Amino acid sequence: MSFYLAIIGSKDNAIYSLDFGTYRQGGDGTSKFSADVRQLCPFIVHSSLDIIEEVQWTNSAMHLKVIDKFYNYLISAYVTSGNIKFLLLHETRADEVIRQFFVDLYDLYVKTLMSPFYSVDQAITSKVFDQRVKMLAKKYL
Amino acid sequence: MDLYPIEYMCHNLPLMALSGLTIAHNSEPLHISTSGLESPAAVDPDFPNSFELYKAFNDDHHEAIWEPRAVKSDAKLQPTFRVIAVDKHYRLPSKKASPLSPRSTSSVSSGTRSPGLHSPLSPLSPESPLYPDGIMSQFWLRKYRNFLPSVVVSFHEIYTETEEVQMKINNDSELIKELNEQKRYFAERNVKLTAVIVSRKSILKSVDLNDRIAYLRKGTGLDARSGLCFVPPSSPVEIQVFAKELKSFLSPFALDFYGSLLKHARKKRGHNGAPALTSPSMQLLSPQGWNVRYELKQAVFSEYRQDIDLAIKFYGIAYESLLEVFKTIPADSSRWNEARALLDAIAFKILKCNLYLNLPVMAQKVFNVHLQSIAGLVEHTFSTTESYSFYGWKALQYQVLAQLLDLVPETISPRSVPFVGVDTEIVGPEFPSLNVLHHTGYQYLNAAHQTRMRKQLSRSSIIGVYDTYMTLPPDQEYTVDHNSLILGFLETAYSRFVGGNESQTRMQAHIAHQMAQIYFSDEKYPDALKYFYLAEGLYRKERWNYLLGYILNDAIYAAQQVQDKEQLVRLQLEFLSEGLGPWNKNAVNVPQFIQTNEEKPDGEVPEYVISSDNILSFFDVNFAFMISETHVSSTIASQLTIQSKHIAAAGDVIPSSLQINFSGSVKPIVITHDPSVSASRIKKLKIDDGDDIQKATASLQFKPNDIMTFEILQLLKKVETVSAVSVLFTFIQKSFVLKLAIDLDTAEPERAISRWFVEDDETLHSQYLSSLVPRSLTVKPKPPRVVIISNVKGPAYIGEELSIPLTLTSEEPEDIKLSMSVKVQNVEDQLEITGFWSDDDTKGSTIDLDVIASGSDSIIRDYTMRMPNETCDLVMVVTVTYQLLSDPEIDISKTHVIDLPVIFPFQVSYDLTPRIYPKKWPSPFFVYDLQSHSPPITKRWCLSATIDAVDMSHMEISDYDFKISNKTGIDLQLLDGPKELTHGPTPSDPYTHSFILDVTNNDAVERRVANADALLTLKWRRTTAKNKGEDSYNFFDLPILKLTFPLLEPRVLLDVESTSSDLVHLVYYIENATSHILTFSVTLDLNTDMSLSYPLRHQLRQQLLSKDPSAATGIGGRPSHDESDRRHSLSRDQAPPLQQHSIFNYEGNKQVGVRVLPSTCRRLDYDLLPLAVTSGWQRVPALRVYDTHFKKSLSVFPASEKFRIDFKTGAVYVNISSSSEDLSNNLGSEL
Repeated sequence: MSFYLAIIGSKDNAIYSLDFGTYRQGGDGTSKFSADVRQLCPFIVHSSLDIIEEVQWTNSAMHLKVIDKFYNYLISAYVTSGNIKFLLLHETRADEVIRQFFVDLYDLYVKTLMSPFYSVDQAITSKVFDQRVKMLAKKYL
Repeated sequence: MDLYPIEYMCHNLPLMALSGLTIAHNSEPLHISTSGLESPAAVDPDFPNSFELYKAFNDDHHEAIWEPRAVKSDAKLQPTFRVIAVDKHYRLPSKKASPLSPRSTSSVSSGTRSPGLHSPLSPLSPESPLYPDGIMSQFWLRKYRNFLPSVVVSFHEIYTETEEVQMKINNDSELIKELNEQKRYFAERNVKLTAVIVSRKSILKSVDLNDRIAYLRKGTGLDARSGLCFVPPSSPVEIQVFAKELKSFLSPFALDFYGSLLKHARKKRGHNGAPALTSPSMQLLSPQGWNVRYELKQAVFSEYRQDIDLAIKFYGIAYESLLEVFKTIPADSSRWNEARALLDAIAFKILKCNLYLNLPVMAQKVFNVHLQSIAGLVEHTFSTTESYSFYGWKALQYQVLAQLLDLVPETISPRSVPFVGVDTEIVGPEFPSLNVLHHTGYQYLNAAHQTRMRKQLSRSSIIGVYDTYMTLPPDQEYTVDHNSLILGFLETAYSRFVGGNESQTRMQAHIAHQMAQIYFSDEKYPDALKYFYLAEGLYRKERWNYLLGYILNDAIYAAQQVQDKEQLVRLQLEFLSEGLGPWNKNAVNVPQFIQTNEEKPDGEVPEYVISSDNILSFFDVNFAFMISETHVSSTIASQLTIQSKHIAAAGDVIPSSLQINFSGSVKPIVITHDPSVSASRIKKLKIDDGDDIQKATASLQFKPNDIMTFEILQLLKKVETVSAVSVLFTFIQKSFVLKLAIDLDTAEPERAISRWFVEDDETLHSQYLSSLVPRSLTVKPKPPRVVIISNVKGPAYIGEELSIPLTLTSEEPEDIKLSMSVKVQNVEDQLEITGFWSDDDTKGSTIDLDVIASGSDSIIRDYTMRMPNETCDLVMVVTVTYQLLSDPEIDISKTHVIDLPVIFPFQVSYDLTPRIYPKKWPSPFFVYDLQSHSPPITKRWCLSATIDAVDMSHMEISDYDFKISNKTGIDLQLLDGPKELTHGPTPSDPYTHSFILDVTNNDAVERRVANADALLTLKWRRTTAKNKGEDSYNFFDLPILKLTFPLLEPRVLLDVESTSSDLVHLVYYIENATSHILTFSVTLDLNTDMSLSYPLRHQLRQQLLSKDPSAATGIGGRPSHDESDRRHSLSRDQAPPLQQHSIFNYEGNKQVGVRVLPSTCRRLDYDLLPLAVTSGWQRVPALRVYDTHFKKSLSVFPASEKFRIDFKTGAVYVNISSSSEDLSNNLGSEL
C-alpha cells in the first residue's frame, strides 16, 4: 500500500508533498509506486483540486472523504477553514482512518502556521514537520 | 465634241417642267428648231417663295454629257430629273404636223382621205428637216430633251390677301377652273400634272386654308400625294425636302411616261418597215431606215428610263442597222454626213453607257469596233482610208473620247495609272494594250498622232469622190494649222500625264520631245528649247544616252539660234561626252563653244557655272583617302583620279585649273594647268600652302579617255571628319569662263568604291580600298602616351575606406604638364562618391601634378574614398589630361576605367543548435507568476557563427559586438564566452564563434515559438592597409539575423559524457515543455556494424575471439521494460555466433515506452562498451524516439560538439579515444 500526500495552499500552490507506504502487512513505510506512477502522483492529486472547488461548498464538513478516482487510486480531501487543502492518494477506502489522519495533520499544520517564521502558502520545509507527518502515517495508515 | 449636236452627246434624264414660277419671257411659242431655253428663265419675284422653290427643284440642272448619278452603283438610284422652267401658258409641242403646211399642200392632193397626220419631225412630214429620206435628226431628241416634259409641276398661289369670303371663293373657283384646264390639256399627252398650291400665310393665320385646299382637291380631282400639294410659308430647308420628296413621288410617273413611249416605238418597230402612208407621195426612206429610227427611239426611251443595259442593247441594234443603211445613202449627199454623225453619236452613247456600267474594257471595244467599222465603210465607199479626212475624223474620235474621259470619275478612268479594269500582267501579245481603255492622256496622244497623219496626207491629191465628213474640202485643207492642232493635243496630253503622278515620267518626256521637235521644225526655238530641257532631264536620268544625244544635237542648234549662251555652253559641254550615239561626231571642244567677235569693253567675260547634276559629265572623278582614320597632325595621302570620257573627235580637253573642295577645315586644293609639266599617269603633287587655298601645278591636258591620278600629301591639324565634297573644273577662254562643278556626294554608290593606284616600273597596279566612303576621312585626337596602372586587387567592401594607388608613367619623349582627376560613380549614375588624394591638401577629385620630365620615374598617388553602405557596381574613371610643354595648345587626355564592385566583406553563416541547460527545470506545481500558466522553463541554445570572406587571407577581424534585440515573450541571456573569435589554422580559414543563449519563456500566454533579432558587428581591416592605426578599422554590420526559438516543441537531445574506448556514455534527454503528458516509444538501433565489410569483420571477430571469447559472443542488448532493472548482463547464451557482429555491448533500454510529464525533462542513459573498435570516428547505436500519440519521429539533436549526427539517417558518430588514459582524462575534465 502506497500513499501520496500533498498540501495545497490557498492559491493552489503546492506547499508540501510526501509519498510513503504503510507499515501494516509487513510494509516498511516506503512507497511502492512504479516510477511512472510516482511521477504522475502530483498530477493526479492536482487534477482533483477542481472537484474540491465544487464539493467544498456542498459539504459543511472539513473532511470531504473520497472525492476522486484515478484508475484504482482514490483521493481523499480535507479542506481547512483557511482554504488549505490536504489531499491523500491511496489505494483502499478507509474514510475514518483517513479522517483521523487529516485531523492530526491539521493539528500539525496549525502548529506550523503558528511559527513566526512561516507565512501562509509558504512551502513547508521543516524536517520536524516531515518527521511528524511520517509518524502520523505510521500511526494511522 | 462641239462638232456634234449637244443632244447626241448629253445624257438623257426625264424632263420636268416647272410652270408658274417664271415670267413668260417670250410670248411666241417655242419652235423645235431652236434649242429651247437659251436665255435663263427669269424667276417671278411676286410669287411667294419663288426663288427658294425654283432653286430647290432646279439645283442639279446642268447640260451633263456625263451624269454621275447614272453610274451603276449599289446605292438606290436617286430620282433625277432634268428641270426646265416654263411659263404658265406653256404649250406642248404639237403632236401632228399642221395639215395646212405649205410644203405639204403641193404633195398632198386632198386632205379628205387622210387617216391622220404625222409628227412634224417625221420624214413623212414635208416640213420636217428629214423629209423625205432622213433617218433621224437632233430635233427629235431635242423635243424630248427640252420641250416635252414627262412631268409638269404647276405652281399656283392661293388667295390669302384678305379674309373676305367672297373673294376667296371667287379666286378658288378661278383656280379650280385653271387647274382643270391644265389637267385636261396635259392628260391628253399622258403628261403627269402636279399642282403645287403656295400660300403666303400659314394655316395658323388663315384658319380656313385646310378646308380650301380640300375644296380645291375636290374640285380638281387631284389627289393629295402627288396631284395637288400645299406649301405654306416654309424655310429653304423645308422647301428642299419638299422638292426632293415630290421628285421621288413623281419619278414613277416619269418612268411610266417614257415606258409608254418605249412601248409605242416597239409597236411601230413591230410593223417592220415604213408606217402606212398617209399620202401617196414617194416614200424614199427605206424600211431599214425606218427600223433604225425605231430602234433608236427605243434606245433613247430606255435611256430616259435610266435602263442602261437595255439602252446599250437598242443602241447596238440601231448601230448595226444604220451601218446597213449606208449602202443606200449616196456618199456625196448631206444625208451621208448626217448618218455618219448619227453613227458616231450612237457609238459614243454605247461607249458612255458601258462606262456607266463601269466596264472600261467593253467601252474600249466599242470604240475599236467603231473605228474599224468606219474604216471599212470609208474604204468601201472611197476606196481608201489613207486620206486626211479619215485621220482627221479619227483624231476627232480620240479627242471626243479624251474629253469624255476627262469627265469620268477616277475609279473608271484613272489618272495615275495607264488603265484599270484588267490586271496589268494580262496585257501582252495575247491581249494587246489596244483592248484596254487608257487614260485621257493617251487619248490626246492618239489624237495628236492621228492629226500628224492627217497632216502628212493633207498634201496628197484627192481623186474622185472625197470624204468631207467633219473636215474641210481638199482645197481648204491647207489652211488648217495642223501643227498647232498637234501641239494642242500634245500639250493637253502632257498636262494629263503630269497630273497623274511621278510614275509616268517617261511618257512625259516622250511627249515633251515630240512637242520640242514640232516647235523645232517650226523654227520656234525658245519653245523648242523649253520642251527639249523637259525631255532631256529624264533621258539623262534614265541614261538613254542615244536619245539624249539626239536631243542635244537639236537643242544646241536651237540654243545657237536664240543665243542662250549659258545653255549653249552647258549643252555643248554635255555633248562632248562619248556614248551619245552617232549625233556628236562633230561636237566642238570647249574653246569653240561660243563663237563671238564681241569684245567686252571692260574686259570682263561672262562666267558660266554648270553643275554635274544637270549634265552628263564626261569627267569621271574619284577621290580617295588612303586610309579612313588617322590621328591629328599626321600626314595623309590621297588620290584624285580623273577620267575624261569625251569623244575623240573633239581632241584634248584642257581645263585651266581644277579645285578640290573639302568639308571641314581643310583648305581647297587648286591644281593649275602648267603645260611645261610633263603629263604622267600618276602625278605626285607638290602643295604650296596659301592663306585660303593650297596650290599645286600639273599638266591637265586630257586626251580622250585619259585617266590621270593626282596624289596629294596633306597635314591634318584638326580633329574632325574630312571629306572631299566637290571638284571644280575651270576653263578660262577668251570670251567666257566655264566652271564645271562635279559633286562627289551625288556620285552613285557603285562608283564610290574607289581604287588606289600605284605606279611601279611603268606598270600600273591598283587595289580596292576597304573603306565604304573612301572620300571621307576621320581625324582622331592624338593618342595619349601615358600609362596609368591601378593596383586594385579584388572587390571593395561596403562601408570601408578604400585607398587606391594609381601609378602614372609618362612615355612622352618630352616634358609634360599633367593633371589627373577621378570620378567614381555607380553604374546607374545614381550615386557619386567623392574622395581625396592622400598627398594633396585640396579635397577635390582633381590633382595637378605639374611638370613631369620625360624619362622620369613613375608617380604614385593614392586616392582614398569611403565606400557606400550598400552593394553596388562602381566605376572609377581616372582621366589624365596633359599638354606637351612644346605644344601647350593641344590637350591630350587618357582615360582609365576601373571596375569596382562593392560587396559585403564577410558572409556569416549561422547555426542554431540546442544545448542542455544544466539546472533542473522548475516544478510545474509551483506558482511563479499568477498571470502565467506555465513554469519558466529555460532552454539553452548555441548560436555558432562562421564568418567567411572572399579574400579572408587579407582580412583581419579585431573585435565584434553581438546584440540581441526585439525579444518577444522570452527572457534571453547571452552567456559570456571567450571574447576572441577563433580562427582556423590558416589565414584564409573562416572565423568561428559560438554564442550560448539561455532562453526562458516569460509570457503569460503559451507561446509556440519566440523570436529575437541578433545583430553582429565586426570590426575589421585589410591586412594590406598601410595605415596600421586604430582609425584604419572599418565596422561592418551584418544583416540582422532573425532567431526563432521553438518553446513548446518537445525535443530529444543527445550528449556524450565519455568517449573512451572502455566506455562510451550516451545521455539522451527528452524534453516536454508543454502542459500535456507525452508518450514516446524509444528504441535503440540494432547493434551491428553497418560500415565494415565482411573480411574486416571476420578479422575483427578473430581478434576478439583470441582476446575474449565470451565478449565476442555477447551480442546485442535485450530489451528491458523494467526500468528498475536497468543494469542487466549481456545475454551471452543468446544467438549463435557469427550471425551478427555487434560492435558494442551496452547497458540501457533497448526498447521502452517513456512517458514524459508536462514541463519535465526525462534523461535516458546508455553505457556502451566498444568491442571491436579501438579508436576513431565510430558509428554508435542511435536512439529512435517515436511519439506514439502524434505518430511522429523526433529528431535527435546534438547537445554538444563531441560527436556528430547525420540528420538524414539519424546515425550518431562518436570519436572514440584510443586509451583508457584518455578516458580518465576526459572524465576528470568533464566531472
